[in-house]
Amino acid sequence: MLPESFTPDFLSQLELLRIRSRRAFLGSRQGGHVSPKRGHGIEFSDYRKYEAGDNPRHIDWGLYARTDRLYVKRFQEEQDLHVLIVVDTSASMGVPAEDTKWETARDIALSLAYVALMEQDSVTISALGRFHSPPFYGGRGIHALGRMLCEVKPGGGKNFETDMQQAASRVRFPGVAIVISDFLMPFGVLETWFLSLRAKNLDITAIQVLGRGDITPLENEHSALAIDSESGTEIELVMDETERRDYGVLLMQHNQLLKTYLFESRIPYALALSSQNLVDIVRGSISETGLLR
Amino acid sequence: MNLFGATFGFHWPWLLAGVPVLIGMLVYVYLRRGRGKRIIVGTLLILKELRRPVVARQKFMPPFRFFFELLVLILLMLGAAELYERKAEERTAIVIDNSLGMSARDSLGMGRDRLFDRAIAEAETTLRKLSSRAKVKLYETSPSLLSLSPDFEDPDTARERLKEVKVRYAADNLETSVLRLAGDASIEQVVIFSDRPAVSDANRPSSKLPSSKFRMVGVRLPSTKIENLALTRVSIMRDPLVEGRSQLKAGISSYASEPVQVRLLHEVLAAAGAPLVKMDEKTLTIPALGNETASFELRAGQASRVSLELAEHARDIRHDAIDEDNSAWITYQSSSMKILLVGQYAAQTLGLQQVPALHFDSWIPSDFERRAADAPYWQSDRAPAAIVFHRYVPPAFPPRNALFVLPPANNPLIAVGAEVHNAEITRWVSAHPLIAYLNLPVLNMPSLQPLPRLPWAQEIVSTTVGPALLAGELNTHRYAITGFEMFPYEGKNRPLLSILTLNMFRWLTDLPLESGFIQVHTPLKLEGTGWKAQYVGAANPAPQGREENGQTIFSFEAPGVVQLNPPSGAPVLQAVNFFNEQESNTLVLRELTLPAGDNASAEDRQTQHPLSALLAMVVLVLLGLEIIVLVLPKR
Repeated sequence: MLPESFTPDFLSQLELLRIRSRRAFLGSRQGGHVSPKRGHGIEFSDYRKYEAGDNPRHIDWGLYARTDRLYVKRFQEEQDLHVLIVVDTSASMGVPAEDTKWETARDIALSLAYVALMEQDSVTISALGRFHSPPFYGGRGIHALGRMLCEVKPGGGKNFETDMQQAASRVRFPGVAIVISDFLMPFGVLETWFLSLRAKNLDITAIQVLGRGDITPLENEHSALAIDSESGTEIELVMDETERRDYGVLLMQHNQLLKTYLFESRIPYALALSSQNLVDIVRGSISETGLLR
Repeated sequence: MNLFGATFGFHWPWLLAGVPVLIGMLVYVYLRRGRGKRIIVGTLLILKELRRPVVARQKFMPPFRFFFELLVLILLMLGAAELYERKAEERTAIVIDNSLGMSARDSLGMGRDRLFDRAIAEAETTLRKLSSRAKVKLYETSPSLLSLSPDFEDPDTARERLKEVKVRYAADNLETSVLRLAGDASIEQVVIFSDRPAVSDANRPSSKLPSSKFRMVGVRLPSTKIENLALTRVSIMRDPLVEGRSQLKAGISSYASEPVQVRLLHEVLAAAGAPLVKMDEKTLTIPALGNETASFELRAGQASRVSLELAEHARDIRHDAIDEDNSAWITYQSSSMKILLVGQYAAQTLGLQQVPALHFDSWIPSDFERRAADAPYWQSDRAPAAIVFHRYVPPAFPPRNALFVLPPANNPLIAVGAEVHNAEITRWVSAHPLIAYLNLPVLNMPSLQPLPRLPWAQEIVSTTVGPALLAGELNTHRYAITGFEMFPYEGKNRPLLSILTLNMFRWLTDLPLESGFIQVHTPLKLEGTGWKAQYVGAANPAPQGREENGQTIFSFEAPGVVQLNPPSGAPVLQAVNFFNEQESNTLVLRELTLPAGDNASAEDRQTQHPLSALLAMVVLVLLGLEIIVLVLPKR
């Protein structure tokens, strides 16, 4: 069960893409990604001296003729890639509902999962605090993943760090990790998140999803009693122009801090606005990070 | 409520009960205020940097503005409750009920104080309690509301003046007095001292509470039940059918809860200077709260006195609270009343000079038509008490009570039918006073002109051919119409018609034809000037007559027999009585209805210096300050 935005057209476009990792990871199955493992791949890797027990089929007889030494040809093995997609399901992703932040994040996750599955990669989706799916292989897995994600309603969000640590602890193979969140949380929490994933030797990409309500909150209100959707904390606010301007500056500072950290950690970052078209997000900002090719 | 040397009050004090509720609402509103709309946002991560977060207002820590708004609210409530200030110079009316009923004494106690004495003592206490800056007017209610103080005076002077208040032979007149005082804007408070209870609030709708202007001080005697016996009427009954036979009838009322035996004494005054001579004595038993009539034969003399007292053996167990209503006087000759006869026949011809106590003037119709428009005549005292139109009908109904006897055909007012012989009576209103004592079925009407049915008149006697006797009131005058001839008046020779004639005149003049006395305070008009009057055998001061339009007018303040001396000629005696059942009734006291609050409040506002306008101004200034100091700087 996929969301309505997954039209055949869009799926055809996704099938042309593939997940790219910046490093080679050992896979568990044969796949389309170059593995550090030498073996029976197509692509020549290097030579090594023949040792007893090597398959004589791999001896480069031409080189032997020229040098009178036995060398064995080595090839790079092509294996699948373990793709972990971590989706933030905290309450802030669903507020305000008309911003469809959660839906955007969910669709991005499913799009990337589809791309990976179509490349015979192994895909695991971790909806923080909700579920950690088993690895799925092949295009059919997208339906199960779609069903699982569509059943999730954003909520909670009080145990960001623990949720992420639990998700990281279940990673068995290194690979690519894609974190989709609004990243509107204390910077310390964010650091914990990425450290947890980096400890698992994952090639991480961060995708930030923001809605209109995150950029210009309480747009039509002069004063309001704002209630935090996650903690329930209430604050009285008067939103005049000064406050709105201050808010814009503070949001920019927060994002700048995030981006600096990610840059220093060599974690690509992409921003997706919930108002954007999904195709534009996938083909645009996400592709620009180098995650897709 | 005294505050800072001034006295304050509220017209609607119960509204103040709403102040705590409003304060509670203000606190609640304050707790909620400033929060604006409750909006759930994704996260306060950045928003909280703009303002300090508020977890919840668990402590009520009101800022200055709260107290400011509380002050405005309280001021508004004070305004709504109609706060007023009583000036230190409070003007009070002390009203003493000095009616006859206040002379009731108790059987208990050594001094046998009267209700009136207690009222004076209460008034004295009240006056003592008033501040020295208060101003007082002293009033007595009977016979009419009278201020004994020439102007507002200090309480001590008013206290001295209490000695001038005396019990009068008069009704209490409290209703009228209260109304008059309610309309007096110069008086802020009225304190009434009376035995009558004020109407309880439970009997009123809530919007009609008694005005705060009035305070009733109930004066009571120690006994719970005050019993009284009284003579309530006295009259001479002349037998119209037997010449010279007269009886004196005295009515006695008992306001006791048990039957009581009384002794009645009949005394006769032979002449003005002669002593009273005891003629007769009777003992009667009066039922509880009942009436009884005693009759005495009148034989000689000029005046009689009937007096009652408790029978000797009843004095220990029963009580007669008011002594002043135990005797009554009556004189045998009485003043005659003038009746105008308009018709072709003189009064003598119709035998009307035989009707006792009435004096007839005879006019022919043309005289009447000529003088009908003479307004000064009809308004003067020479105008007749009633008019008899005999076989004649004027162009319009006259401005007097009138009897129309056998109206002619084709008259402009009463369309009578054609003459019918030997009509039979079919129906009559037996309760009507016109046909009292009559055995109507034997009334013989040889000829009858049936009367029309008139919307304002009641059909008293009906016949097979139409109404024979009509009576009713039109424009406040009584009119009776007969379709048959009822004259000449022949006394006992035609008893049925004679009694009908006497009933007619009794009804038209609305007085007993021969009352034999006048009530206290009723003006007695005597033709001519120079009349002198003095009480016979009593120490009462000589009544002073007032001379107006060639008449001497006396008003007597006490019961008794008064000798009236004309400038020339023989003196005449006039009995004066005071009969008032309400004053004599000591068992059942009438409730006094005080003016409703909303009626009196309009007056109060004029005198009690309302502060609503001032409060409104203060509130406006405070709100203006709030805008300037608290609101504008934030913009």
